[in-house]
Amino acid sequence: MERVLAGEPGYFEELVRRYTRFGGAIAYGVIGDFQQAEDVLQEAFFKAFRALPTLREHTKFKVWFAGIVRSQALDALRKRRSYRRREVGGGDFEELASRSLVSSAIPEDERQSLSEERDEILKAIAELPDEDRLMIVLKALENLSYKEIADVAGVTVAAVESRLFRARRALREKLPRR
Amino acid sequence: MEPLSCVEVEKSLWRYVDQELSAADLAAVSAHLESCEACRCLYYEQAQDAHSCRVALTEAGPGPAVAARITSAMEKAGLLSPKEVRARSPTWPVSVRIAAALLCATTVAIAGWLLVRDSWTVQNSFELTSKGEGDSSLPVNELLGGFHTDGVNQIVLWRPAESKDAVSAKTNRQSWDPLHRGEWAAGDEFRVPEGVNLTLELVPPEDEAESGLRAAFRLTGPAELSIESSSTCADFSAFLEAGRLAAVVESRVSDAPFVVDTPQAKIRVVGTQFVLTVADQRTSLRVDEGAVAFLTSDGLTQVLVTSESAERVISAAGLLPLAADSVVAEGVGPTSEASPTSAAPDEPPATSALPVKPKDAAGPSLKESRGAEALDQPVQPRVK
Repeated sequence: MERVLAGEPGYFEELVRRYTRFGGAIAYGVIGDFQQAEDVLQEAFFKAFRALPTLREHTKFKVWFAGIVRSQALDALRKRRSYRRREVGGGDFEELASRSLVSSAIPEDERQSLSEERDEILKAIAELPDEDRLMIVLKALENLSYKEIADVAGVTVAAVESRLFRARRALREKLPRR
Repeated sequence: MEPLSCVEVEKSLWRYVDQELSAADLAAVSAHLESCEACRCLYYEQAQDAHSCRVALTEAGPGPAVAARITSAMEKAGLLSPKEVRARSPTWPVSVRIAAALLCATTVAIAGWLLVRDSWTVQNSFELTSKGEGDSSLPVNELLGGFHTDGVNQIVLWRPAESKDAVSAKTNRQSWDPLHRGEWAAGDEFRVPEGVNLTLELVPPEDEAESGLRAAFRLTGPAELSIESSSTCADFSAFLEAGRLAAVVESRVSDAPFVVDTPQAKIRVVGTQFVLTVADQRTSLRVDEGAVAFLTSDGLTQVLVTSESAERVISAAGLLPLAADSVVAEGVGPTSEASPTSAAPDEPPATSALPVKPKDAAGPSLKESRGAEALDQPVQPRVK
């Protein structure tokens, strides 16, 4: 972090590489749309870069950055809802095949071969209530502990456990037994 | 230990899947699952659900392509150009910089003398040679010891005099200056040749001394270990590609994870001493003190290995059953339908005798008891 602040080239890029999945998990967890999550993540990195000199405790970058991503994502969610009725489910996930965060990096034939099961799971996750989806995504994608999820989401550990339980029960009801 | 009922186990099952249980609860649930087929089925269903979510989100989620697009966008916006980034740093007059340099040099000399004076196990002088800025292949030239200070992660390298092989470390630091010659950091990778031991210490910074992990671990070459780039003293993870890792881990807080992945398996330390070996496409684990959750890499099967357990092995086929003459451990969890290959250890127990300080208990800390040194101590094989 000192090297980033000292202006050494290449070090902020390392932060981007290191925290893309973490930030992406928060953004997608809040919004439920992969394309918008990427836009939010990019904005969050821009904001973090500009605000970095104000970060006093450099070891707290992860928590600090999580707050920026979550705040950006909530702003994006509010704006989206104010402009149009939110599309959940099919609408978002028809886009997913062509506009997922990694879609451009996946060859067409591989993309077509991605399993229906995966899409069903993603659709079910996207349809979860916002606060429950964030818990599931942070647990599944980042394998954060309940305490870490609580810190990111700004809720209690008990709330994390309760929401995770509720989300998993909802997913089980929606998804056919495999 | 009072056996748990099915209702109690069901209530704890997601916390078991999520590795959120204490060592005692983990052992109790594992023991119940071993004997109750209905609960075991439920556990497999929940573990499968968690696994499916993880796979689906990982496949669709953000990856290197996203990071590259974001970096590119920032460069286009002029944020990451070296000129503009450097402009953020204050520029001091030359006279002030010279004075600061002299002050630093004096401080370094005094601090170095103090460090060497207070050092432990210094056996010889040593020298690390950087092959140039950005190239971090660091051959070690001499037998060496290490010094110990709070706030940095120390590396201590032992090299037999007869060995001409070098330990190489890929580090995200551009150079190792003389004062911090032993420092390592998250993201570093270590390749240790045969006949060489590499001991790493994890020491929390002063402001996290009460909450961070304190650990010492010894790699016996040939071995390859990568420290995950996101690792901290509050959340440590590493990848052991090959070789033998012996460790002493002292956790001051119950939720500070110390995780080691291998190509076949994953372990999550509860506060313990253990030996992890990766060889012949198998990962074996022996626990000398405390308890370690031992999971297959897909997370579908886990077992709690304690100091009372026999050595356990995970191969590509899953968790291997115990050898017939092994002592069955308390708290052994469900096992996969793995191949019936014997899991008998292929080497005799031999490692650390360091007394690990239980949480909140009086006794020598790892630092006080010189954790890295303890890994050198010969011990008697455990008596079952």
